[in-house]
Amino acid sequence: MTAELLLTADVYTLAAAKQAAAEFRHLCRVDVQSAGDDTRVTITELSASRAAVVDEFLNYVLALSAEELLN
Amino acid sequence: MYTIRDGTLTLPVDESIYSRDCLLRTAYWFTDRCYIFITREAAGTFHVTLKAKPATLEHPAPEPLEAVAGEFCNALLDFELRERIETRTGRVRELIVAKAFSASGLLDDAPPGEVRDPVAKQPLVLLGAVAAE
Repeated sequence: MTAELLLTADVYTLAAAKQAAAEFRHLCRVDVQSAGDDTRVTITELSASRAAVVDEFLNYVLALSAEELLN
Repeated sequence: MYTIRDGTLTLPVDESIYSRDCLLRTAYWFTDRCYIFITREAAGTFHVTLKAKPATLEHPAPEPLEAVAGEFCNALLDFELRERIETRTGRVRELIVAKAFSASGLLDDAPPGEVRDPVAKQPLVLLGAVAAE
């Protein structure tokens, strides 16, 4: 399964998306690209049994972005 | 107020009432309870999509999304209020703290003990120094 998502720059940072992609590399393949100010991520799950991997990835990017933007 | 579709709940957050930082703080706190995705299709409104996490041994019954959304809204309001109070009273609080430390003379004296003192003993040394004054 592949999911393509646009992460708004108001909430998600490019650095957070890249870090999360690196840390999730054993669970999914994530392509991170700048789309203007925003970030476009394409997530391809490596295993069909891990249905929640996209949701977990998004939660992780959100947490990393919050830490970066609020500190 | 909110919409439920395909097992997700989406609620709009008005930026004229709630700041981006408050939304981030609230979302950060709720990432352990549900999956959260935030979009901003138009200026002035964020859309927060909540999705229940699957049941685990620790939490065998997933929380109803409506209940989580209600608590999310309350937390959002709480963080926003805290931020506004901080903006209004932060300087006064800093002044009170500065005055308290200044009056105690704590900042004028050299710190008690030595650098090599074990950390665990330092609070006792510090309390002793204050009590002696």
